[in-house]
Amino acid sequence: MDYSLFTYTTATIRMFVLVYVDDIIVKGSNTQTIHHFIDKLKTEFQVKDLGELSYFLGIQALRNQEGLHLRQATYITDLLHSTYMIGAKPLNCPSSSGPKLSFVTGNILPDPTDYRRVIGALQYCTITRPDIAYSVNQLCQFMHCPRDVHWKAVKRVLRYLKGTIDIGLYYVPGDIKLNAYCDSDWAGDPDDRRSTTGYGVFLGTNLISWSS
Amino acid sequence: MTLSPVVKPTTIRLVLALAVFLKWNVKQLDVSNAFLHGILDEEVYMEQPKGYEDDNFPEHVCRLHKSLYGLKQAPRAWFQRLSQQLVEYGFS
Repeated sequence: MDYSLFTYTTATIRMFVLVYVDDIIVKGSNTQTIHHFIDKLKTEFQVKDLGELSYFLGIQALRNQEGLHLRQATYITDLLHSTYMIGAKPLNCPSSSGPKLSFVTGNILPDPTDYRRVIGALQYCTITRPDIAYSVNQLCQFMHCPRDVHWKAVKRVLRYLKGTIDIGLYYVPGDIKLNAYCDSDWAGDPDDRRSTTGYGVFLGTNLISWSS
Repeated sequence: MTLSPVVKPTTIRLVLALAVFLKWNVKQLDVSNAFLHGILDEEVYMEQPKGYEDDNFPEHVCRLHKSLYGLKQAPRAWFQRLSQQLVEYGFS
């Protein structure tokens, strides 16, 4: 259930409206109905018609013949600039294969502000980046008391992003079956032996929801 | 009540994936000065703006009918207004 998704249904027409404060996405089965709706909205509020979906909440939407590509290249590039990592050497994996991060190793950062800010930005990047979901989730767990080893791991994610700026989600038409996959590590946390669960939900071949 | 609901990332992805599947048209809009459209339920007053004071009533304050940017309830008042409008059009 999402309160900012509005639906309009008649026997022949369906229309969805997604609202993010003052940004609105409209989609529907009938183009004329969409235009009619936009015109009605214009009589009530001052509305800027931005045309076909192209850039929404820092997400670029590129449509081609087959499908729709969603990516946050601009957002990621800005993040790399603000963290002075734009010139960094790219890495091909967002986290190291060594032992898992822990609460107790390394030295506490004197000022956790930067850590928290960058993690917040990385979390926003995960809207179109399931590949960093696990690494970012791991790093989120040290928000309250980040240490230098965690900061090093953050920089690793940034270096990985540097080499994969244009990666995102690609949605193509196909069947519309829902498939979900999940797995869990067995008491993988070195501090409290909790397990980490991961899942992915696909609509046809399109990944729409995940956690790691 | 000051919260303005925001759309969940999963909803965005689900609806976009569906639009690709159904070959639907996707349009994007932006409401200008959105927060000024909100209608206030609460009584809110402000001092007369500098340079626009009424010489006859310099001690008076203004009662707000509509929302202003920076008000605590601005996001919610706007969302309320918009969702009422959408429901009026037949959305649910």
